[in-house]
Amino acid sequence: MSSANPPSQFVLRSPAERIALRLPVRGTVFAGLLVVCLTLVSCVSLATGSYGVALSEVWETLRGVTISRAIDNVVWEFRFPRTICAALVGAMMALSGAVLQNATRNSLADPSLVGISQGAALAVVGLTVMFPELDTGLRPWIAFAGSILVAAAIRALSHTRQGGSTIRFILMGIGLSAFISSLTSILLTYGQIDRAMAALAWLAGSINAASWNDVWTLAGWTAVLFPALMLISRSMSAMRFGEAAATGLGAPVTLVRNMQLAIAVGFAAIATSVVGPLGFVGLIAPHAARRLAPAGMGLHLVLTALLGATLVGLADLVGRAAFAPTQIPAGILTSLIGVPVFVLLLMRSRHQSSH
Amino acid sequence: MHMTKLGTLVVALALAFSIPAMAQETRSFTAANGTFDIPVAPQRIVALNDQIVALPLYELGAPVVGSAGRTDADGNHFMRGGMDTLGIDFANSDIGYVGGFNALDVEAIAALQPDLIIGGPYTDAAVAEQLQSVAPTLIINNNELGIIETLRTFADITGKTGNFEARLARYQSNVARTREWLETPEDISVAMTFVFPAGEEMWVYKHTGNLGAIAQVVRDLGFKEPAAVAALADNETNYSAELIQDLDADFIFGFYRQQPDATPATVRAAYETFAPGWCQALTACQNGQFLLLPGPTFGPTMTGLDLALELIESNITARPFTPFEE
Repeated sequence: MSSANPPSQFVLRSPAERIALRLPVRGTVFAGLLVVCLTLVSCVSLATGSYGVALSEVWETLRGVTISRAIDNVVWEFRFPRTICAALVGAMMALSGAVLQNATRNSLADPSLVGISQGAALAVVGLTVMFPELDTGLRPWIAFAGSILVAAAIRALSHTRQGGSTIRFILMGIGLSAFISSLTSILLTYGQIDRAMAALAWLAGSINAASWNDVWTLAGWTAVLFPALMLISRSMSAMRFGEAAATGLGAPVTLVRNMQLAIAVGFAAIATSVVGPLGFVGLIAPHAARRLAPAGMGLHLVLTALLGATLVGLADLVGRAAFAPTQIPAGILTSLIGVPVFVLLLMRSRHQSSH
Repeated sequence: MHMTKLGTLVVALALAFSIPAMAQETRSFTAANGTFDIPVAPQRIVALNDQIVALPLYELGAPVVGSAGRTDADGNHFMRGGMDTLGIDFANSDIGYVGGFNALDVEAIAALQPDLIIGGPYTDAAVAEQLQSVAPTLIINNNELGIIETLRTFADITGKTGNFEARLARYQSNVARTREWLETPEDISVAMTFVFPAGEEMWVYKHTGNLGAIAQVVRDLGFKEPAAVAALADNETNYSAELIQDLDADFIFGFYRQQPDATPATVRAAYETFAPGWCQALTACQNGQFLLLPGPTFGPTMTGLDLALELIESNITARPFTPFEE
């Protein structure tokens, strides 16, 4: 056996060696640890709540044994869909942030910072306040329409003769986001108070009413968007070096640029439509993933998704259990964590640029 | 001796089994969110709003086991208007706190094992739908029904119609008496406003609006609105400081939220912040006919209606006042 340095990566090969996957050891180990963390958070979430259920009873219930109708209801209808929703929403918001950061080549891009979440929020609040009789099942589509319109507007406004400018994209996004938030405030101020209150609860970013329908919606969209993202992940790596370099490396730049935007908007819009805007998850998770382990684009996205899922799962668990029965929306907790991280990142980038 | 014990056991078991059987007796009821089978005599009700649902139910004598509430700056939970109107709170009653009205803890509600859950228009539709798996969850839209019909609906749901109608008849008789004393109430103008202690904005309410019991009493007595208020498109409006003189009337009722930071003095100061010189612009204020009223006391209960009527009677009927001249 060689006593050389331990390998920093290993290769997984299919039996006929038609497909091979090269994985860095550190990134893979952290991905495994994050899976364990997410599983732990989910288990604690399933076992914790205002309704007293012993751990053994939760386990029995999950195995399909009916201890009582009430316990069945609490575990299967309240805790389980809520836990899955929190994880899926966290992963989606985190991936949206990662893709936006790559697309704009700006590490501060986040769906809630550049107006994409606000676009979804305005559309959903408009629907709730002005057309309360409309089916809430329309929310994902309306949110998607709101987000895509805002993304298209930012892209059009930030486009110059020289092409798209990333800093213009971010600044236009921040400006448009403030404008859209004002429109949302007007709707809330002048709309009927009961409708405004319903919209306000949703705007706080709460997972408290998560149902299996929400799980299917989120899982369905993730099943479409995540593979699409993985398909373009190699080209996304090339795009990190700029569009000219990516073209030189053979990446289909226009297609990848449009797909990145569509996927980022799609993830943010669907997640927002279900639980409301969850601030800063898209900002924190990609950065934390990069700090945990240097990895190729594909593994970086996996780490980002796992971190986002764990973060929102934890925020939801703390928000509903720490001061129960007082419920703190997960969105408030993610913002509480996110704002200091955002300030730190800004300070770091200023520090780096001054050297 | 053993036979006696056995007999007691048999009777106890029979009773134990008969209670659920009785509780399962249901009837059909149509609420704002659909038609449901509800218990004929509910035994454990959870209210998803404190002031709008829990207090009227408690006043009717219905078995409320849980309610949404508010949380003060010290982290204590309370029912808005509970202590002011009925002298109850979570601390001195058997009503359990189940979260904020817009942040309900569905598991805490399930843990109370309710046989009926009642919410209002502020209740998140998705949460109400989720709670249907715990117990029939009715949404009663008090905004559409108004105070009297909402209370009548609660009485019907809980089988307390007799108590309610007797108390309503007494209230209506007192209204008739006050109208008689006022002689021509339709000639007396009344405006209704609300500000928070920060004084950033002022809300104006039409008499047809939903400002708790006081608006109902103002309607029942037949007062008139200032022309500017009558012309408003909505029942409640965020009003411009520059137009404050248009609210002048024989009487202006200024409501405020009872909190440590909202005393009559801070609320008067809030009006000054909102519209400097406001009192000079309003003859009602100059003549001592601007009345500050603690809003939560006049929630949608029969007690609220009685209190509001007494207050108006003592401030308008029982003393001379300077009429507003346009």
